[in-house]
Amino acid sequence: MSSEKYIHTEVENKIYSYWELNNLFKPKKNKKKFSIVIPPPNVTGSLHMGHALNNSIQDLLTRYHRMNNFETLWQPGTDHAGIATQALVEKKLEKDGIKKNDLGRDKFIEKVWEWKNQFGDIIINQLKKLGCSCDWSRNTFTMDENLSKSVIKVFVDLYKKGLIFKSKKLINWDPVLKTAISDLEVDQREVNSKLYYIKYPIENSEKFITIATTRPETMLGDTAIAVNPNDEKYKMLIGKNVTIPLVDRKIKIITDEYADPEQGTGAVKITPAHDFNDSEIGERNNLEIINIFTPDGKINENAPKKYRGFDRFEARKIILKDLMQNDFLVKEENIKNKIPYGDRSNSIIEPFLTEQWFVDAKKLSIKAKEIVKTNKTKFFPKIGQKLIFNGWIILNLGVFHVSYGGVIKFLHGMAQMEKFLLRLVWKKQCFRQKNFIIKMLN
Amino acid sequence: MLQAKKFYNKDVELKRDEDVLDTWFSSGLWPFATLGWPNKTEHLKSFYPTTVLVTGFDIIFFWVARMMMLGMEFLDKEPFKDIYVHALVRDEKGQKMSKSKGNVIDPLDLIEKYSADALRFTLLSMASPGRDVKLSEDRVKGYRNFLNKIWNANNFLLQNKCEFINLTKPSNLKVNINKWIFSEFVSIKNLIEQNIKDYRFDEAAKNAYQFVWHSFCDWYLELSKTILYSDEKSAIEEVRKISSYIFREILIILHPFIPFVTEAIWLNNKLDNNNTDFLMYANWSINKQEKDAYNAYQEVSNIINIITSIRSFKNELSVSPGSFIEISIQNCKKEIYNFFNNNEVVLKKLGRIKNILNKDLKKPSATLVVKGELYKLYFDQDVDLNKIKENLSNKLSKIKEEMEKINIRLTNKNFTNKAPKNIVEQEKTNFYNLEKDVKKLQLTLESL
Repeated sequence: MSSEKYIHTEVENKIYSYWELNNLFKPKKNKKKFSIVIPPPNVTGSLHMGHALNNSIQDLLTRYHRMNNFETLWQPGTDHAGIATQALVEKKLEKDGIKKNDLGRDKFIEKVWEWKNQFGDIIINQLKKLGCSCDWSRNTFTMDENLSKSVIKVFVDLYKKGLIFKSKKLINWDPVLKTAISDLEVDQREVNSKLYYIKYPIENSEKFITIATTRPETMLGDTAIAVNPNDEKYKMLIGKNVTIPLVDRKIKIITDEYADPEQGTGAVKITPAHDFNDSEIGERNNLEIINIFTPDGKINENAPKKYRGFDRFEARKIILKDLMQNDFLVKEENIKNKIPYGDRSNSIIEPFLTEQWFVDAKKLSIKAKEIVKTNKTKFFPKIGQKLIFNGWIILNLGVFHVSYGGVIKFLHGMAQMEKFLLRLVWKKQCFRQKNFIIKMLN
Repeated sequence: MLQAKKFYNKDVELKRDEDVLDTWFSSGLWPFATLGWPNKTEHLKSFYPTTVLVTGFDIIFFWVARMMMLGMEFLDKEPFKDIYVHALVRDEKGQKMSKSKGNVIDPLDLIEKYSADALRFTLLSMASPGRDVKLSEDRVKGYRNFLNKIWNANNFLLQNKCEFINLTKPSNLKVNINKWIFSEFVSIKNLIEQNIKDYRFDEAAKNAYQFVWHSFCDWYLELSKTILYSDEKSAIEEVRKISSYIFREILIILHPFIPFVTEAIWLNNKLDNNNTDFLMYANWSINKQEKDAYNAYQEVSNIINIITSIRSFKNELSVSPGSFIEISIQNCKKEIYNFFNNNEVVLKKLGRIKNILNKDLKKPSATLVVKGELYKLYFDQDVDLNKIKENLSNKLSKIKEEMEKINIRLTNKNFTNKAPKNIVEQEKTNFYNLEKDVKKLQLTLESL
């Protein structure tokens, strides 16, 4: 006999154990097949409403097909999701007085596994609470051996096919820890700074062009001066050469929308190797890239002998003194600006050129686009089709960055990727797509 | 190593690149690497391409696009045949849930409070394509009551000795409500199947809810009481059989939506047959012949129609729903005479009808029209039709006044141009609703 009232708290857990005990979630041989792979929730996460909706739908479909004589598999798993897991593991290590960098890559990964084995089932148990009928005997983690094996195979095969290759890209670099760090670890602090006005002599003339900068030492790596194409006061100077003071190297005055006539003098020095904006301007204008720092933030052999070996801040002082003595320094101004600091070392972060991996997304998306176009993969609702094509338009703007220069950063979050996409889009001035992405991200 | 030696023609040391891949590199291989790729596993053969991916709007090109690119590149087959894209879950006002706003609803709290089934049913019934889910706790609470309704229905069946052993598919049904509920069931099951195939989980959930709550619990079980409490032995037997049979089918169609409560009842009723008939493998499909066997059964629909009309008519007149009436069918067609004769017991009980009259009485009456047939209704002595008429007239003039006020605002350009759009729209809707009320009231007044 059943009881008077339905009391779910007394029933749900028992029922779930009954299903598991009888192995009911495993596929039962049949001709017709039905399969779903779960979008892997973050292993560090906790069930939120989005998961609840997403998994209620998957469970409905799974149970419906299982009841209708389909051999049914709902493949479960969790994702390490990069930085989130890494941060949690690091925190735990810190409590135990262990530093990640002292451990090294392999030992750290071991620690991630320890953490995963201890806490990784939390989200799984929450999915069970919702009633999800996944085949848990096949539960997978994105760092499992087979997943890692697949990653290496895909990487090597893509490399052999020429679809993946190395190229240089600026990243955030901590010269003290000598490691790349993610955007999430960079802390932008407002500080009191000085803006230095420096004049560059114009070739075959008595005249100068004056620029303003907070980082005079990077002039050792300048490869152009940019003015706005609509700036009347510099119209006559476009295309002329100037000499970099103290360096004695000649660079060109170019035009770029980035130079703002209202800011400073309206002319800016361009150092593609040491500034994110300058790097983009450099790419747009095919400028040379000259790196002047060693990985620990000292001036390298690409700079004049006199300054080599000095620390970046030491070099700044010497350069300012030399500029003053040679009458290249016009004036100084006190300003407030934002300087990137590393979360952990508390030192100033440098944009630094490193080699990274890129995928040729244009070639890789040809077949994928075809199956969407021919409805081999159908979207419900149809709007999904539009979304994915928009994504490919963006990818087609060029190659796609897939790696992250640096040391133990094997885990890496989405933020970097999103920013990168936005930058790409901005660069090509696809305003429509940009708005679209922003809408998507909000 | 060997390859490197061959390439360089000497022993070389290989060093692992210290660089790290973005997470999408591993999650992009998810649909096939989880099935065992690069090994040629049985699972990969059976289940790739997968049938469907269920995902949110926000990761379509970060994640889905990459799985498709890599799937095509490495297996030359699309990773998914279908991709179902769902929207976001927002709070009841449509705002994004966020910690800073403090409007985050924790699904685990709702599961604890109202059950996983109630939460699932709520989310599924709100999963309209391309539209965000506006979640309110009240909805979840409401669907918790749905579970109680099902539980109580089962208790009712057990109390009335409806048994769950040796259930066979019904044939040669004699009792009209049995024919009706069976044909209703067949058509709703088809509808639910179609809606699930079309990824319209919201519609499927509504179909199931409507059938179980209204058709089965509100009408069928109510109507069945007149038979169960009678002494017609063969009819009682047929009702017991059919109600158990339909209820078992209800557990089956509801199981994918609300697996826990359906399983609990299934096991309580020993439908598992000593662990041999699992609800999870109970078959959904209806064979073709059955689908055509019972067309929508008109007679019971008519009963429901008349009773519903009487109830709402009383409501409009502000007559107590429990009061009894007399009804004259003098002006009706011959079929209606037969219909009232055949279903006298049910109509009297559920319609709260004291007498069914063949001739109009000489006293104040109200006129009810159902499907073009005209019925005269006589109320209890304590119901003063003149007073009701007066009340309704007062109500009517008040509504008209209110409409006039709104009309003045809406014809004022200053208001329509300057007021926020949603407020102007709201006023227009109010006006439209009042207009509908007026028409209804006028009809009711005419009927008296």
